[in-house]
Amino acid sequence: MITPSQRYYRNAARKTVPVPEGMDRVVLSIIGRWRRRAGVKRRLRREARKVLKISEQRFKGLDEKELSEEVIRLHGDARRGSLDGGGAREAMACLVIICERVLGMTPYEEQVMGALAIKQGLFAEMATGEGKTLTIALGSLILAWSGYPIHVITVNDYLAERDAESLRNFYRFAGVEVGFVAGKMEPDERREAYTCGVVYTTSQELLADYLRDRLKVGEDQAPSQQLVRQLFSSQLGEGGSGQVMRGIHTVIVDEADSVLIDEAVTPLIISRKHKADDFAECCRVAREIAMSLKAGRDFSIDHARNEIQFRTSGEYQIDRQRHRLSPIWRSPDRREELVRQALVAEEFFLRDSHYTILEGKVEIIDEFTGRLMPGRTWKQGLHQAIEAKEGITSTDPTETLASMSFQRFFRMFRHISGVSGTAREAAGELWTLYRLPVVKIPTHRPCLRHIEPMAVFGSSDLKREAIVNEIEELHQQGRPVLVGTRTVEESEILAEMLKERGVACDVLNAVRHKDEADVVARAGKKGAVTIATNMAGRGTDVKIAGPELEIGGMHVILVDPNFSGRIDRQLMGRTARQGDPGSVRAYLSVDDELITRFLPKFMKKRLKLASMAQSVGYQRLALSCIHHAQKASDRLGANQRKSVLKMDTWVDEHLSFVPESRRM
Amino acid sequence: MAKQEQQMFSDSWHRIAQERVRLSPSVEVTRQVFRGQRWFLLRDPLNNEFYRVSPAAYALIGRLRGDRPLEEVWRECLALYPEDAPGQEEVIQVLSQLYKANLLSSSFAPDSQQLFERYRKGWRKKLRGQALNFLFMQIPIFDPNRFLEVIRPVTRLLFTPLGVLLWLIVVAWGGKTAISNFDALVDQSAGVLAPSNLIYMYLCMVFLKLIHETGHAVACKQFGGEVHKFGVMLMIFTPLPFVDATWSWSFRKKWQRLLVDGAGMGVEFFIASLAALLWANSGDPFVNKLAYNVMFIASVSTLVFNINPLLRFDGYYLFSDYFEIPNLYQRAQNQIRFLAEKYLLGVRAAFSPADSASEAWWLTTYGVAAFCYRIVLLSVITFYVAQSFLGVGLAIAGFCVFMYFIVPVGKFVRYLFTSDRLLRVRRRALAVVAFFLLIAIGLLGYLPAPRSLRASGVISAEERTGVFVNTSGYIAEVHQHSTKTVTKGDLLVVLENSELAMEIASMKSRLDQLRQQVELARQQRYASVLRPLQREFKAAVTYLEELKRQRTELNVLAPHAGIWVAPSSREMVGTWVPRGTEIGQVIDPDSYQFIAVVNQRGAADLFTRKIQRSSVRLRGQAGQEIEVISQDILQADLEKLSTAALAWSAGGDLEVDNKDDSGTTVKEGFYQVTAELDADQIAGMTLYENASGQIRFELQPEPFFAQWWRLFRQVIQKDLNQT
Repeated sequence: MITPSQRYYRNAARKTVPVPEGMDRVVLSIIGRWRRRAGVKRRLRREARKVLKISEQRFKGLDEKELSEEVIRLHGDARRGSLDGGGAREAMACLVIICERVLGMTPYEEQVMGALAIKQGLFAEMATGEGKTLTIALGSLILAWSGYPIHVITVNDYLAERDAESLRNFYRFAGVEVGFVAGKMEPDERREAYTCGVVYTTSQELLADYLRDRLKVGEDQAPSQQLVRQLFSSQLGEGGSGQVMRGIHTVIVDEADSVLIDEAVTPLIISRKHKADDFAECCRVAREIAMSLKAGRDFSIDHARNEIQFRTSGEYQIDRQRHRLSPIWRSPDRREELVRQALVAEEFFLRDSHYTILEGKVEIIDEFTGRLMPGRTWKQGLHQAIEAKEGITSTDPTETLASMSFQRFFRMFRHISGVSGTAREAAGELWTLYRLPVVKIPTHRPCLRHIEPMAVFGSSDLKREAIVNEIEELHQQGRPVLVGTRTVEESEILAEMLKERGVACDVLNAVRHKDEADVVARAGKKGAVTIATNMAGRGTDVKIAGPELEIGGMHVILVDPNFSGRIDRQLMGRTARQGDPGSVRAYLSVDDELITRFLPKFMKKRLKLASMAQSVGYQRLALSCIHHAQKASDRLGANQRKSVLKMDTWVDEHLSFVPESRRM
Repeated sequence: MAKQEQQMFSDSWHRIAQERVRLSPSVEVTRQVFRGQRWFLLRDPLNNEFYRVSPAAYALIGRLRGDRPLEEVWRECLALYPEDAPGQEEVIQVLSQLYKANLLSSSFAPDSQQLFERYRKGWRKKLRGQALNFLFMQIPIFDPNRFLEVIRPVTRLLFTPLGVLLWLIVVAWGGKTAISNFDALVDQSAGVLAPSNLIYMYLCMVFLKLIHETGHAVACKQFGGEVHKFGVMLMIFTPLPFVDATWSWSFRKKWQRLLVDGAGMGVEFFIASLAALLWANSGDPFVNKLAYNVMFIASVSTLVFNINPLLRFDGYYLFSDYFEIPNLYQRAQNQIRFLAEKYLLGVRAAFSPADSASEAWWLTTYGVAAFCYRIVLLSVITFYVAQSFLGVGLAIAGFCVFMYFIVPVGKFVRYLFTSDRLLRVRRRALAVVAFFLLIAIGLLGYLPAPRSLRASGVISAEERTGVFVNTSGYIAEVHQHSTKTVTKGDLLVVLENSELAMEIASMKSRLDQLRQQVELARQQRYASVLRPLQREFKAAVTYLEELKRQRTELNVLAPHAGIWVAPSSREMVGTWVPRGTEIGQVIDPDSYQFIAVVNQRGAADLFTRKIQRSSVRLRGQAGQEIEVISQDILQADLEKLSTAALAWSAGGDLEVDNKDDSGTTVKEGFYQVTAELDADQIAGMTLYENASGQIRFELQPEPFFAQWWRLFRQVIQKDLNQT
């Protein structure tokens, strides 16, 4: 049985604070700059030093039993809410010693700084390979002692499971249960996991569980209404049965820039199957009509914005064939909408790049992580258009039950903190949206990563040839190589080329991801070649042992530049971790998608000429081209996020006749 | 017509699909026809909120009874009207707007916190609206509905044939009276704007507008509407009454709406006609003045404000209802925006708010006219406020400039740089705007524009001879009355002096006596006596001559050819005129000059800029432009006007110090310009001394920016000087 207050908190969420506009926004961003000032870092360092001193003086000498008693005392203090200032320092010092005892690792000063930042609701920017996992554990434990549900967000299920399992003993010693929630788990397993003090999961799982819980709440959505009803009704157990979560309060986001910025664009949708109607058939007819149109004559394509616009002749053609559609779709706006959707599906959505076909179903590939997103669909109309394109008879059309953007969801938490290796570019946005001030935590040891000059080519074929040559050479030397591609297609092509040369390699992408853990474990071995899409970019910790380090550590190849510089930097961060040696080389060809999509024509031309001539300074030119294109792409992304935010505000404004709690 | 593209499916549909919403129970629905198209007007009498929906949307809304989820109702509509039924996006839009207008209610227990928030938000929005519209602020005072209910038995008589007949008779009679006394009407208009009359004018205005507004209210009531707001509107800080007769918008019949719109003016005309009758037939000056004011306001305010469809007064509603274009102002603005977006900025997704081609034409025409008018009006108001309310006025004017010019421009700039509508065409949009901006700057900043300065003045002759009386006397006869053209030596006035006549007679007899005494002395050879007598005789002769000369001077003659001007010539017979009095003047018509007064600001312009040409127009002969040959500006700061005709009260530009009875001491220093007129031109005209008119100096052309900047500086300077 759960108490009324538990029930209240299960459904109570903070009201999202609107993002201010105009002058207010300027003021807010000035405040943000102040909150990110260098003094914050210095204060954290002073604190961390004090913590380490206390742990040395007070806790080091204690035996296991005495330490447990200390844990119980501090835990109690935390629940009473008296863990501030000195108390927090003491608690952190105690955790440092527990870590040392249980895991055999003494946290560095920098990790303690990160943990304190998490405690204070900051965004800790820690360089890749600095031991963020342990930092998060320290931070989440001290928060978990307060008794509120703590959620730790990881990039994928594999990492959630790995972290939760590897840290279980640590948590247990500190008196906190740890659990994880992964995609394949059943509701009962989930409920079990959510009862833990700290839950590792992905943002998708967390939001999906939250939305499903909300759908189960029933009539009275406002938690106070529920509370009143329950207090006055004799049956306590009713309403909200089947919910799995304890409510949302604190969230610690690992790789927070990816979760809070990149992935926040697409809203998460909970849907159910519903009976088929003739819509799929209409989409099929619309596709036939669309195929009878000619680009340029009947419609124009805007590649930069992924938009189709009809010309007069196109409108006429559609009008002539409108009788083939069902009556609902015959009015001018609607028939054009349908045909436009079919053209968008045809022109802008590419198989194995944006989606793939698995077991007769369209599965979406996440553009940022390179992973499949099973069960996800595009919006009504577009998904059916893609199914029509692939000739799949959509057996079960889905119907949205609830949807929410991650942006909105994470703003509903009362306490949010984040950790990531790459946050610099997004600091402003993180502050205005989530009120997260970024603080840069220095590295523990100087970084030994060697960045080799960029290689620029006039075409993808030449580029691939060079990449394979380099891999072969390094492979013979015995150095492990990690090859990062942007698309599934590219990873498969390279794998095929290597196979022809007789170089064995592992491939990790949206389609082949079954034995991810094994592949990652193998990747650091001598002579290992691993080709991975961006899914290997974040959180993946490739362990490299002694002999490989001596010959230069792992070499990372960036096959093509990503749409965001942060993702490139993440991939580079897979090697030369924690003071190890390692090297990186980025490749670029003039027909890479980033270049073709985001670089102005004249710069493209210059780049092409420079790459052909291999003239002096072409490296700098290439770098600035990439920088320019990535900036343009970031701007587009920022606009998309702004429109997601706008959509949220729009919903609040226009659907105000629906109670807020049901507006999901 | 380009229509807004609305997608069939909405990402947000699931959020409302299961809601069981319905129209508020109190909502009333009226069917109206506009330009042959059916519409449904939803209105909640409890809060007087309106919303107009198309029949297709109403098919859905009408089915909402809160018993079924929205999804089900929508599917039903889709099945019934596959082609017309609104798509999901449109449904959401309509419902959201209905909710904002408080016309929608939901079947679930409302979240009370949200209700309060919504109320607070609505209140704040209203307050902000009032603050932004501070030049036309409305303050409701009481609910007149009950009162109107009580007087209904009387007021309904007005809408009977008898009432209409009475109205017609009074208005016709009053109109006829006004027309037949048109000259007197026009004459009296000069004093109506004098400061001393303003308070009466304002009182009459309040009285008249009270009746006017009651007219709207009564008409609205007559056709079954209700009126719940009566209050004070602060129109440019002038309190005037207003009523809220918006209930009439939901009247089904067009003529009823028109009648409510026109009732105010109808009643006003009726009162003005009564006033005209009173004015024409009353001798009491005070009653006469009040009646005149009422007539003046009724006619001028109707012509300038009420009937003007470009302002949002009665004329606007009459226009909008007559041509069946509801919400004309807003939609005209949208139409202009649509045209600009589509054809100038190249926005492809722009859609027109018009439902038909003819409506689009009306909207466009109205939109352009209203836009231009608005610019002019706002400029005038801002300027007026800046000039009239010293010190504080400058602050208010600053606020006006901010509100009416800077804010809209700021909004436009933001729209240009951030609006999603321009996403694909921003470059072109920026280029187009930059192009027009450059052209405007070029035209206003560099193209010299003609510039002129006007000043009031009077006609005055340079060559004039005073006609003096050289011998005192009573005026016996006036041979020539004033304004007659005379030649040299013409007899003008004959005086009579009986004393002089007697003196001559006694002098003559004394002369006779002297002559005899001289004769006697000569005969008796009294040489010692003879000499003095001879001297005395001589003196007496001289004196008689003198008296005789004086007698001839009793006939006053014209000193030279010209026009005999003696303003009081008709009243002078029988009056005693002492010697040396000027009884009139003879003016040389060829020497007429125009004497104008220019205030210091104007003089500054005249001194600094070259005068290219100047001309004079006289009141009453404005059609004739008289060329000025040369002008002379008297540089010394004068403080006394040469004639009261130049003062403000007589239609001049200068404010006169009220303490001075002669009406010629001016509050502010001024300059005097003497202009020599073209002799050939004035030869054919009849001119009068002191006839008033205006002189127009055409100054060296100067770009508008420079002109405006000077004007601005002068206004500020004047303000600072006065405070």
